[in-house]
Amino acid sequence: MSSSKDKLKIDKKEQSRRGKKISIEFNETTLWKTGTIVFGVLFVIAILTGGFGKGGGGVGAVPSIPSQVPTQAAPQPSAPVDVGIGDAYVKGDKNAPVEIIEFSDFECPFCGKFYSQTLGQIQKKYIDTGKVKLAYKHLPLPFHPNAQKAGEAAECAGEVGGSDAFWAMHDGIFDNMAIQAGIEVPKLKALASDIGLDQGKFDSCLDNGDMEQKVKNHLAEASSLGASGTPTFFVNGVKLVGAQPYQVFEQAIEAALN
Amino acid sequence: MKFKISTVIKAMLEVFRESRYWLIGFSAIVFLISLNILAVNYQIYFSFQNFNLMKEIFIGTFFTLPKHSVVLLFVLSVLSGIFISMFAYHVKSSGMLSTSSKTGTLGTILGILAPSCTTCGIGLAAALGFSGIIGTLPFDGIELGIVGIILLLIAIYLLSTRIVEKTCIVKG
Repeated sequence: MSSSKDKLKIDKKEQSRRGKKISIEFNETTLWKTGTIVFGVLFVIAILTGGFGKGGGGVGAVPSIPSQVPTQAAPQPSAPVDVGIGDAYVKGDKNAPVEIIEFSDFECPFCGKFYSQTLGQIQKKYIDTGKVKLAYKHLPLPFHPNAQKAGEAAECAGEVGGSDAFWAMHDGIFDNMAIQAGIEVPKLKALASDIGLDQGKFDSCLDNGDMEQKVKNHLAEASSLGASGTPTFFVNGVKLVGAQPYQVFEQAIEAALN
Repeated sequence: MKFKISTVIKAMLEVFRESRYWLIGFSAIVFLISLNILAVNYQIYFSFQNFNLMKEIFIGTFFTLPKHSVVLLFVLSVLSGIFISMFAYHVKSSGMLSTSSKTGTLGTILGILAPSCTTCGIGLAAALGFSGIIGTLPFDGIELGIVGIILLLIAIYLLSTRIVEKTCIVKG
């Protein structure tokens, strides 16, 4: 018997005496070596291809940053980052002391969960009372085929009808997701009609991709900030990941207010 | 050598007869669960330094993670805790490392990385930037968790045989 091998075998005579048994035999050293080689090769390939072409240089499921967009240095563990509202649409008083920037994907169920279960409570207690302003930025994930166009649709609604129209489209898209009514382009155009937008201008904006670059710029910004999934929030520049329940946001907002 | 479940039971009874190994195992389980839950949001703890916030995020993440991730997290953490306790006992009683340590270590590493939510970005793998890689897998990382469970079960069995037999294998 080789000294380097541990074997588990069921004695064949015993097996035949007792009837049918399941035979388990493995070589632990070979298992270890094979597993190490397999994972090592996969790891190297993943690094060289940036997550098999689907990872964003190791930052979650976000695609690579376009070369023309400057990247930020990685934020220090306790230092808030200067995210900036930029060209995002804002809900609430622009002078509110607490700023929440949400990077979200209209096709992401967790983002839908935040919208349906948490946003309403935050709005009622903090946004409507002037303590918090919420800005929405786009982070369409590559494996959500309708997310990019849904983001553009919301931006087109804002472009055509203003901030209120943006938020109405935002709510309509997530409501459609919740009831699984779909968010393909025809559905987005129907939503625009429901909101009361100029259908011709909206359809032209969406079909021509007028807001495509704006959505992609938000995506690139999210990648540079280390947003590793959706939804990702920045509460006064401090990152908070996940569709956390209302109590988490309450604590974070109260801590920021104090 | 025959595969016997009674070997594992005897070994676990021997190891967990001493309360220190309960403590080691429990501490390991809590640590591994906490690592996955709290790692990705570490910035907000340091910035606001609010214990209630940390507590709410800890609880809230269980409702945020997909159900399969929560199940994997608990199963892998418990198995890792058992393995770590038994390994500590074996090293203390025999004074040498077991070859099953490699299998168990790999299983524990997978156990730490597998229970991640690749879409919502929660979990240690997401915090380390691996969620993109794990997200490319056909079953979103569940495969890693299953491999981790198998490796840990194998490692626990091999350690059990060492603990119960109390003999050194003659090599050569």
